[in-house]
Amino acid sequence: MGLSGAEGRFRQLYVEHYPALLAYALRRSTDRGEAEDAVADAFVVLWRRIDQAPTDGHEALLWLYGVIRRVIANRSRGRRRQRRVAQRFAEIAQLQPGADDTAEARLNASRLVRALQNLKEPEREVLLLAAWEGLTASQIAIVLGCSENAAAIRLHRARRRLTAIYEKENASDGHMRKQEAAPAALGKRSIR
Amino acid sequence: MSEPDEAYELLRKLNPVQPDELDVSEVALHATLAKARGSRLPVFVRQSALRTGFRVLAVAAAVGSAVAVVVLVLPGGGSSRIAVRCYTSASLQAQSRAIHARRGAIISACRAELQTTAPSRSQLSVPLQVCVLRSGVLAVFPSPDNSVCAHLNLRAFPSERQP
Repeated sequence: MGLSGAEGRFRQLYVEHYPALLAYALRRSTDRGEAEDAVADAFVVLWRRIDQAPTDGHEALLWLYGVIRRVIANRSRGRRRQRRVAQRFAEIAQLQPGADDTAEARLNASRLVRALQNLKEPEREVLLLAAWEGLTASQIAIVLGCSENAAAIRLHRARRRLTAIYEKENASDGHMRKQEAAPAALGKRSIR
Repeated sequence: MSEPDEAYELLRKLNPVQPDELDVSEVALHATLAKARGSRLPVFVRQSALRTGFRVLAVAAAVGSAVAVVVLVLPGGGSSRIAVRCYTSASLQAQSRAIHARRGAIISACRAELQTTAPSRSQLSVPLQVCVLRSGVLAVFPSPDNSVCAHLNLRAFPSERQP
């Protein structure tokens, strides 16, 4: 087709990484069109900086994750962003974790989403990069532009915080259920 | 008290993107490329506008032009394809190549790819299994074992059939 070197490389990276970038954006957006726009903007950045993008395919993907992360952050800042994050997580809470569609599984999903919303944005992002994009600490370091050690520590702390908040949510739900059950039990006794 | 890392494991399972949502449209590639070049053709049309119905005339003109380009320039026209990674053996560390394939033709597309990349001819007759990578992208592995996806700690993608 006689493509120039830069254009050929751009097409190759687009074909190879578009789905992963779209998946990244969809996981963090409430609207598919918005996600597609973010991916398009990330590829525009790639086109402008094609000579700076890593030549290795997988490293290029990590570089692109870093770009789209900033694109999404720039597109929706402040409160509006917080509202969108909350809305996206509310949708995610309605999903079924795997094939396990029981009331308990839904309750756990909803607790997890509340726990995620209680994390700070950098903690949440490091967790999602590991859990949803399947990245290791060294790969997360490339995306976030920090050292591997720093990424590993952030990931460890974020997992610990998530577990702590999730367990607190569990305990608080259990306490509420007990409180709800107590008046019902008293009512039964008074009838007798 | 929950199991250690129960929350993290639940988070992994709750991954909200399915591979069906990850079609790659050649029209989108051309629109992005044109936007990147600063061309006047489909550039000013945001991809979300394609969905929301804004700027109907502009969209029609831009999409029409892009489709015409795709039909004229690319084999296979402007149909949507799905991104697939074809592995040369049943390991995530094996050599792999990213291709685009139509639904229902994923396995045959990877088999054709294997003709050029497989290290040995004996691999060419092995059945291919379709799994879903953690990123949501489909991956095809040569293996007679139907549970290869589970062995690789991946989800199976059962809707594709062996040709």
